[in-house]
Amino acid sequence: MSGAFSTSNVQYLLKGLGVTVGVSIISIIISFIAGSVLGIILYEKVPYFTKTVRLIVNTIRNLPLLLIIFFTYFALPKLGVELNAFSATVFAMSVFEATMVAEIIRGGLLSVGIGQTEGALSTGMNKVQTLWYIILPQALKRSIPPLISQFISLVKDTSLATAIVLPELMFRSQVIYGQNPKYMVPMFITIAALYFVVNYSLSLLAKWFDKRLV
Amino acid sequence: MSAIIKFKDVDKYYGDFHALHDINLEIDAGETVVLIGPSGSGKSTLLRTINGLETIQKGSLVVDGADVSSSQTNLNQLRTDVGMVFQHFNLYNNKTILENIMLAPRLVLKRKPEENEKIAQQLLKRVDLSDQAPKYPAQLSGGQQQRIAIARSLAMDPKVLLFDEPTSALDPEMVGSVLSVMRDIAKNSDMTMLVVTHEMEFAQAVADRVIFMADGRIMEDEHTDTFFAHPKSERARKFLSQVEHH
Amino acid sequence: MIDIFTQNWQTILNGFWVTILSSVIGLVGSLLLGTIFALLELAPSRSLRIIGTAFVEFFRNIPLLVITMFFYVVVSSSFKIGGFWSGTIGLILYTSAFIAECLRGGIASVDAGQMEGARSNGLTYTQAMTHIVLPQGFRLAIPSLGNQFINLVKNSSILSFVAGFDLMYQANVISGANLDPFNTYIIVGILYLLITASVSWVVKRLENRIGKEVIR
Repeated sequence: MSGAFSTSNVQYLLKGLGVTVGVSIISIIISFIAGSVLGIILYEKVPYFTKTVRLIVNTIRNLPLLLIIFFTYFALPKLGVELNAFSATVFAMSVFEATMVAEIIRGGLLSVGIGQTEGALSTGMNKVQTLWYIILPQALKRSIPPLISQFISLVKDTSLATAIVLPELMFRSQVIYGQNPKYMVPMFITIAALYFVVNYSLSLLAKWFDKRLV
Repeated sequence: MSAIIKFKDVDKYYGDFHALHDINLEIDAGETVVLIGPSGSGKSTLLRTINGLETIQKGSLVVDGADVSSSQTNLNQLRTDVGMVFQHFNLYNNKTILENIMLAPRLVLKRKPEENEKIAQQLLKRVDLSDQAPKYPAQLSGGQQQRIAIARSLAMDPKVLLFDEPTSALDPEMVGSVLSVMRDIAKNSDMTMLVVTHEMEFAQAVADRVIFMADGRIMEDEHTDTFFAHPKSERARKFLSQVEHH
Repeated sequence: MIDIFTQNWQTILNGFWVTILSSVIGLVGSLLLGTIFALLELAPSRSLRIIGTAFVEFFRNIPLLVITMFFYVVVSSSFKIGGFWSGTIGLILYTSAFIAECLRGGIASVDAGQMEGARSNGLTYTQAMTHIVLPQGFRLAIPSLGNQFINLVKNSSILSFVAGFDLMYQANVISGANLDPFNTYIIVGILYLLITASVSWVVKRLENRIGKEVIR
C-alpha cells in the first residue's frame, strides 16, 4: 500500500503510539506515587510542612503544563540539568500530574469521614495505623474514578511534547502529512481515532468503577 | 353528579412488580376522598397516575374528560386542571415564596402581572403566611412550606387537587396548621380533593368517602361514617387498630 | 529578571491580552455550547441524548492539540481563520465537552421533586427545565465549572502552537531572542498565576454568595 497509509508510514505512526503510551505509563506511575504522598501531607496538616507543600502544589496546578514542559526542557539546562525530550516530558508531566493527583487523594481522604478515624483510634490503633489500614484504602477506592479521568487528561497532554520534538503520535502524524497535504485529513482521523480508543477505554473503566463503588 | 375521575380495570407494573391491581373507581366532582392503607399498598401510586406522573399499563383512566393513558392526551393541559401537593413539598428552591406561587400562572395561564400578584397575595393570606412572601423556601419551616405548596396549587385554580401524604414529613406540631388549611378548602370550595394520609381524625372529619387499599388493590370503598364504624375486611380492622395505637 | 520585563513589556502585555481575550471568548462560547450539550444529554428523546453523548465523548477523549491543529491545518486551508481563531475554536469545542459533564452532574443532583413539582403545577418540560431545574443545576455545578475555567485559561497556551500570539507564544519569542528561558518563563508563569488566581478568587466568591442564598 502506498499513500498516507503506506507500510512505512503505518509503522512509523505506531512507533509514535508506543512513545505516547510509554510516556503515559511511566508518568502515571510516578505521579500516582508522588501525588499520593503529597495528598497525605496535605490531608495530615503537618506544621509548616503542609503549608509549604500546599503553596507548591497550588502554584504548579495553576500553571499551563506546556509552560512546565518548556521550562523543563529549555530552562533547567541553565541549572545544569540536561534532559532529553523523553525524560523532560516524563519529568514535566510527573510533576504537574502529581499535584493533580494530590488534590484527588486529599479529597478522597476527606470524604472518608471522621467516624472512621474515631472508630479506629478508639480500638487502640495509632494515627499511622489508622491512616494506613482504615482511611487510605477507602480513600483510594473512592479516588479511582477521578484518578482515571485525570490519567485520561495525562494521555491527551502527552501530545504537547510535540513542542519539544518528542517523536510521539501527534508529532509523527505531522511528519507524515508534511509529505503530502492530501494526507492531512486521513492523518487527523487516524490519530483522533487512536487517542479516542485509548482514552474511551479508560473512561469506560472509570464508569465501571463508578457503578461498582456506589 | 358526574364522575370527574374514572378508573376502569387499571393495572400498573414497575417491571415485574404489580403495583396496582384491577382498579375500578369513580370520583364525583366536588367530592373529598381519603385514601388510606399500609405503606406499599399503592395509594400514592394510584394518586400519581391521576396526573400522569406514573403511567398505567392496562385499563383506562379518564380525568376531566381526558384519557390519561392515551399518548394523544396533552398532559400539560391536564396538569393545569389537576394540582398536586407532595410529601416533601417540592417548592422551587431557587424562587421566593411569592414567585413560587406566581410562576405557573404567569407561564401557563398568562395571567396579567397585577392580577397574578393580587391572587397570590390573597392565597398567602388564606394560608396565613402573608409576611413570608419575599423569603426562600429553605428559610421556612416544613409546615409553612407545605401551606405554600398548597397555595401554589390553588393559584392554578384546579378542578382536582391531589394530596400525597401532605403531613407525613412534618414535625407533629406543624401538622395541625396544614390540616386546617386543607379542611378550609374542603369546606369552602367545590374542588375535588383526593388525599392520601395517615391522619384518621382528619379523614373522619373531612372526607365524604374513604378508600382502603392493600397490596395494590382497593379493599373497601365506603362512606366515611360507615367505614370507621364498621370496617368490613379483616385487613382494614387490623390497620385501624394499628394507627390508633400509634 | 526585571530587565526582561522592562525590555519586552509591550510584547508581554500583548501576549497577556491575547491570552485573556481567547480565554474570555472561550469561556462564553464553551458555556453556551456546553449547556446545549448537557441539555441534549438529558433530553427525553433518545436520539437527542445520543447526539449529546457522542459529541461530549468525542471531544473529551481526543487531545486539544489535535482539535486545534485540525482547524489550523485543515479547516483554515478552505476558510481563512488564522491561528487565534483556530486555537480559540479548539478551546471552545474541547472545553464545552467538560462543561457539559459538569452541568449534567449539577442538573442530575437537583432533587427530582423539583421537576415533578413543576410539571404537576402545569409547567411544560421546557418551562420546568429553564425556570426551575437548570438554574439550580448551574448553582450546584459552580465549583466544578470554576475548575474548568481555570483549565481553560491554562489550555489557552495551545495558541502558541498555531502562532496565536498569546502569552506562551510571546514567551518563546522572547526567550529565543534573549537566550534566558529561565527568567522569561518565570515571568510568564507569574502572569499565568495572576489570571488563574483571579479566576479562583471570583469562583470562591460566587460559591459563598450562592451558599448564602440558601438553596436546598
